[in-house]
Amino acid sequence: MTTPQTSSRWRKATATAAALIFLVFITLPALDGVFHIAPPVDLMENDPAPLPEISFAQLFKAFNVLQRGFLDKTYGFRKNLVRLQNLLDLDILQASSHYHTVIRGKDNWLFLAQENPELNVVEDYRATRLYSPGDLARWVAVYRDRQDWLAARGIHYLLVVAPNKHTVYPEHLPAQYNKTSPRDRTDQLVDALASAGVNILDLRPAMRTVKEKALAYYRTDTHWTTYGAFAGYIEIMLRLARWRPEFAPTIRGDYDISITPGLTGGLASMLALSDRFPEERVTFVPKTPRRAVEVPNPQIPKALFQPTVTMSTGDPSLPSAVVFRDSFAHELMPFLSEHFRQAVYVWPYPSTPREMRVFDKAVVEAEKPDLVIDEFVERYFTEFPPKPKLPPAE
Amino acid sequence: MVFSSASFLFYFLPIVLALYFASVRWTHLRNWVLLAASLFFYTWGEGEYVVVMLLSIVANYLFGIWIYKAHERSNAKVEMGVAIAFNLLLLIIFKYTNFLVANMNLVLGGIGLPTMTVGQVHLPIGISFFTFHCISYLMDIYRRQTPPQMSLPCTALYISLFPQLVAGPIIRYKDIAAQLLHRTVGIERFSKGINRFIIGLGKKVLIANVVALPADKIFAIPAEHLTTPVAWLGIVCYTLQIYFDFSGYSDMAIGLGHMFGFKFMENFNYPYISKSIQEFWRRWHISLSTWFRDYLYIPLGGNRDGQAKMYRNLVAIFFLCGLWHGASWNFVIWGLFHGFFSVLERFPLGKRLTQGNAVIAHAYTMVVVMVAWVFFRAETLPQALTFLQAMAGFGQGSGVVWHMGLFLNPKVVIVLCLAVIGVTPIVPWVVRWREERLAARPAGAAVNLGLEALASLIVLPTVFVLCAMSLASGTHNPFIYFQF
Repeated sequence: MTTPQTSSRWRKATATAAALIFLVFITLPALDGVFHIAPPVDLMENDPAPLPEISFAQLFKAFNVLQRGFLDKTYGFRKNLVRLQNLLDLDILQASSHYHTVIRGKDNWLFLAQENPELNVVEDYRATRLYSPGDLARWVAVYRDRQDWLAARGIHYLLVVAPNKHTVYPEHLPAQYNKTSPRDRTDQLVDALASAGVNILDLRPAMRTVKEKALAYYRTDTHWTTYGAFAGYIEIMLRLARWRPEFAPTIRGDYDISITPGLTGGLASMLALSDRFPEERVTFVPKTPRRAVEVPNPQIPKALFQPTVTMSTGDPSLPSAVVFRDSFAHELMPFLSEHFRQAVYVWPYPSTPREMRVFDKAVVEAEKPDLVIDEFVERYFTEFPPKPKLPPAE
Repeated sequence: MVFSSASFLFYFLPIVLALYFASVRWTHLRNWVLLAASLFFYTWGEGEYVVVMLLSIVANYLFGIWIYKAHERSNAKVEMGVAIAFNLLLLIIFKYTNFLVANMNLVLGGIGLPTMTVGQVHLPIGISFFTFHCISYLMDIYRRQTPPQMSLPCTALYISLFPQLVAGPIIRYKDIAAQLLHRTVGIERFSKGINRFIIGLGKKVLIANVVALPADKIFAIPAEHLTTPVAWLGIVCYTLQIYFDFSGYSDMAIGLGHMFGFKFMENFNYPYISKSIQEFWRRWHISLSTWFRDYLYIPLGGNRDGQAKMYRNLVAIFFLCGLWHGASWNFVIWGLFHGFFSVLERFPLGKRLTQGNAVIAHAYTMVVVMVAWVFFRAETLPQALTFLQAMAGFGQGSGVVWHMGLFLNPKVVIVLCLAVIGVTPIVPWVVRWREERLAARPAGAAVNLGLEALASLIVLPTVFVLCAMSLASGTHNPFIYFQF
């Protein structure tokens, strides 16, 4: 029999225990900052702006940094909680939304979805918004201007489009993501640029060919494998051979292909679940040593979005190149660099609806290359052009 | 800073609790701790606009004393008028300037006169709430229901108390005056506050945030792609989102109040089970509707001067209630829409509708409420009308571009089901039924205690961890009532 005194004691004990549990829960994350008790978790994400050193002079600056999400990004156990949430959503609830960063497709394929508030790769794939004639005309004018400006200096121009994974492997996307139009923005822009005489290389057909025999893109990453990159390299060289015929016989194919486990796919890391989505790394090992090595280059900016890399073979008989790139060029660089005396790889910020990706004419003028390659992954290539700026008020 | 953020949960709250309970023996000191915390809380969210709130606090502190003293020699109507005008002016400047100028420019432009230009006036968060707090404080003094607070820090604490600062509930001064000076918190009360806070956090994070995503995305669909099923899914999601968002916030506020020894009024009582719009407003945002009743409807004459004036008063109250929610015609239409049905229900047709078959009454109420939410949620009047057109079966979309499959997944479906259960008092009924059944049995009391312990020690901590997981992964975390 439960007496009122026993009930009261029991309720008090329960209340005390509940309060203790809550207090432990709300204090643990901050305590982890001191004692580092949270198990490590591999989570790929952008770091918040760093906190300035705490001093009276920096007090307001520190307050601003804290207020703008620093604490919400850096507290202890956060990465563990992110991992748990993704396990719950993907494994238990089978809930994947293209309004989150990563979606889980069929057969454990992962796809990038909402890259940032303005760029939804799945909606791009579905072709829910197409270019207007005005948008197309603006982009065509931009690329025509680049090509003309370079031509006036005797420099060749090649615009290269690396496809989105969604374009190459749509069969692995969840079934609800249907195509809504037979043509998408890439089709529109590629056709418009080609019609306007811009030297454009669309790598979508090449990737569809690769995937018939090999894995063109990693299942757990947004990028192409070395198979895909190698096919892209061959297509680029074949196109360049129109301008410099000796490139055709020098395309290298003498590689040993190594496949090793343990690749951490970027998309899996963005979910903090790389251990749950194992992936193999594809590496092409050249049978003869590579000639191009990275060299210092004081003439050009060290970094825009990511560091600039200069690769040199030192062979004066070869042409030189400037490559405006994004992450897809990473796997291309070892192949391409072999064909140039010097190749400068500049990595600017991608285009947004407000700012176009930088086409740094100063780098071109400093380097005086024989060739400029403008490489874009499809999702940056198909950004809507920024609205033209109004002329300054008189 | 919102309650459902890591900075609040893992830094602000533990620090404030530690400081508060370290100073709990000294009433003045613990009030200073809460005041400092509240001002910091506001500054974190609004920066220099804390000055607006401080100005309001100092002015209303002085107004309170002025009105009280004026009563010694007059009816203090002038003093009260000045004080109310000051508060309304503050609200008009920060909340309605852009709206007024935009509408005035429409008129000026229409008759060919030059239009006015003002920059975008910033809306400081919570200004609608703390202004209403201030007016209730002054009204209570004016009505001689309470003396003024002679301590400026205590007045400041009443107005700025962080649990209810930015989204209510709207606390009457007379209800809280004694608690500002005398309050105690035992472990059971503290634990009760924690439980209530976690329930609110769960409502907000695990339900409102999940249904908010489809709601937001569906309301962003261009008119030419909207279909009837998708429009209904959108408004169902929004209907659930706004309830769980706001009632969750109120639960968190009430829970925090308990933790610091305050008792705030309840703000929601299962509004979606209402069988009339009148009943809906007795159950929805209770602190606001009673504020309007006590400080506006009754002073206007209420229902004392005949039916025609009562209808006029009702429409006026709903017009102002809409305008209070936001400076846009959509909010006014939302208010007037409720006002129209509130008046209609006083006519024979309305009475037949609401007092007849319970299912029909409930269906009628929910349809009115959901149609009204379209005006509340849509950015513009044309968007609201297009959305309603789609809900009525005249959507222009083919269903190829934006179809249901894009918004529904097992998680959304589960949460929708839980939400539908959660808007009804099923859980309290089951708890009561279980307690009564068990009370009659020999070991029933022990089982009841065990179940209570299970809820406090297992279920609610699990809910908290699930919320922390969701917040950590940065999922959709909007807060509707912050804009008011």
